This record gives sequence, structure tokens and C-alpha cells, in this order.
Amino acid sequence: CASLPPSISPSTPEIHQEHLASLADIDQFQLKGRIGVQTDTKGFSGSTQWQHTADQDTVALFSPLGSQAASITRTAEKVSLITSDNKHYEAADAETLTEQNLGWRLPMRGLSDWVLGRPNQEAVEASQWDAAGRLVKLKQDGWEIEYGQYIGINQYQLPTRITLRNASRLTLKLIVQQWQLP
Amino acid sequence: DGVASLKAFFKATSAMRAHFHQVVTDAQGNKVQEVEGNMQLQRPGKFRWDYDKPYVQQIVGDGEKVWLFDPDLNQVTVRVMSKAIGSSPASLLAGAQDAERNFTLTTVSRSDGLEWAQAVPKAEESGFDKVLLGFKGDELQKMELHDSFGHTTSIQFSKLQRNPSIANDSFKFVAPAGADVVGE
Repeated sequence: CASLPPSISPSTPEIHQEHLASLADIDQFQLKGRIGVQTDTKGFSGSTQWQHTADQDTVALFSPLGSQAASITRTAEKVSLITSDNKHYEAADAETLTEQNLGWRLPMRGLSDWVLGRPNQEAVEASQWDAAGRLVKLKQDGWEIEYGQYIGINQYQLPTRITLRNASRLTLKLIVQQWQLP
Repeated sequence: DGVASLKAFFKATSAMRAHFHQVVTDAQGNKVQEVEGNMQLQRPGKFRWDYDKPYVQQIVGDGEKVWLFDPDLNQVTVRVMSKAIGSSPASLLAGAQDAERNFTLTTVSRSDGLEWAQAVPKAEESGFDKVLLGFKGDELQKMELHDSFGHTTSIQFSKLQRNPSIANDSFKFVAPAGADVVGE
């Protein structure tokens, strides 16, 4: 994979395990930020709000004018999507739901870990960590994830700039402007 | 009444420049977003909304396409004007055809001293329920967007200049070097 950015000296497994341990007790969060979606044929950019708990996710997407573009809700049983023209859709998982109805794939399951700067429980294909033990690059579940910036919140180090790319030339850019942890 | 003011506004205003202050509230009335900036438009079909605070964003309609630039994301999202403008709020103000083709217009009475017109988009999937425009005589003061999630975007115009001379290239969008250009 790509060579290391010069300024980031590699971490040791102990250091990044320590960093991961510091994140281990986070099982719910709220974030506000900006999201950019890029595919070969279409794009979206706007703001987003995400409430995550172990058994429920609510993601709202807003257009630049402030009007809501979509609302995605995941519960244990299903994932549902409401679009700005008041259409309701449902599916077993967010990935197929958003792919079919928004034209791009939101990997909500994996993202609830990736957004915190930690791998999810799937196999890790590749990973790179900085000297402070924070994730810089992660390859997992068919996605290549890059972490551009971190911020200190309470005792946590959390990402604020994340870029995700998958093999079908979809790019998601997420800028977290506000983290809220219990 | 409101619709008469809207029509008088269209008749008297071929171009406009103003400062705007935008507040978005959710269904429970909580403030979700507050942004400021400057806008200008030239009928038919050209408009520009430059958001300055708290984040920078540009929405430019050049008559054919609508360009949306988000510097934080370094992304330009492009949409063909006909689809985007058909029933978007920007189209109501800068619309080429008369508003009645794309919107059902009615007068709404309020006690704030303004003449209010309500425009309900005829297109099913326009992305919002209605737009309200508040006038003092034939001068636009406020605009409100009501989306189907119960959000209201209220825009207050100030320092309004009617029919100023506007340089033609002010509606020409040039993507900054290195920005990702995405869309149609």
C-alpha cells in the first residue's frame, strides 16, 4: 500500500493497542458534520447529524439550503429511509437501502466503528497507525479509509476528517464538526 | 395581496443583490443552522448564493447548470439546471418561465406587516413542501422554505439593491484547482 506520509513515524502494536483500548468503552455517540458523496455519475454535499447507540442509528442528511434531504433509521429489525419527497423505503441493511434508493452505498454498520477511528470486528486487510497509535489508514470490508485529522475530546482522540473509498469508485468524505459523547 | 406583490416583484425586478441571514429550525422549533452571506440574481435563470459564516459555500446557477462548491470538502457538485431548477426555491426567484408553470400561488395573510405569497411546487419530487415570500410592496424582504421533514429555512434579506448592474461573469463558476467536480 501507499508509502508512509513522511511526517508520521510508524507506531508500535503496543501503542496502537493502547489507543484502541482507550476507545473501547465508547458504545454511543452523536456527531454533527459535513458529508460529501462522489460517484462517477452523481454527487451530494451537505451537512449531517448522526445519533448512534448499540441498538439504534439515526442519520439525517441536509442540503446546503438547510432543508432535510434524507433520514435513515436503523433498529435491530430493519433499516428505513425517508427522502425529501416523502417516500419511505426499507431494507435489511443500510448498505443495500442507500445503494438502491440514493444511488450510493452508506456502510453504516462498519462506519459506526470507523468514524471513531477503530476497525470493526471484520478482518483487517491492512492498517497504518501514527506515532500516537491513531489510525491513519485502514483497509476493511471492501473499504479503504483514510484519517486526515484528529481532535482531543475528554480523554479520547477522535477523527474529524475521514475519507472512505470502495472498489465501485464511490468516495465518501466526512468532516466531523462536533462530537458528543455520553 | 401577496400574489400581486410577487407578480409586481417579478415585473419590476430583472436583477437583484442583497445580504441574507438564514436560520433553519426543526419541527420542534429548535435552531438547526444559522448562516449568513450575499446573494445576487439575474433573471432568467442566473443566481448566486455565497454563504460566508460560519462556513463558506457557494451555489451558482449559470443559466444551464447549478454549481455547488463546498471548500471544506473540496467538492463541486454539478446539476443540470432544468432538473435542479424546475421547482427549487432559487428557481422561483430567478425563474425563466413565469412562476405559475412550476408553482401554485396563493396569498397568505400574516400579522407582520408584510404581504406574503405562498408557492407550492407542482412537481412531485421537488424536495420541499412550499415556499413563502414576504414583501413590502413589491420589494422582497423574507423567504421561507418548508421541507417535508418539518424543517423551516427562514431567509431575511437586507441591503437589497434592485436592478443593479451585475458583471456577466459573476454567474460563471470556475472550479478551483484540485477540487473534485462531481455530478452531471
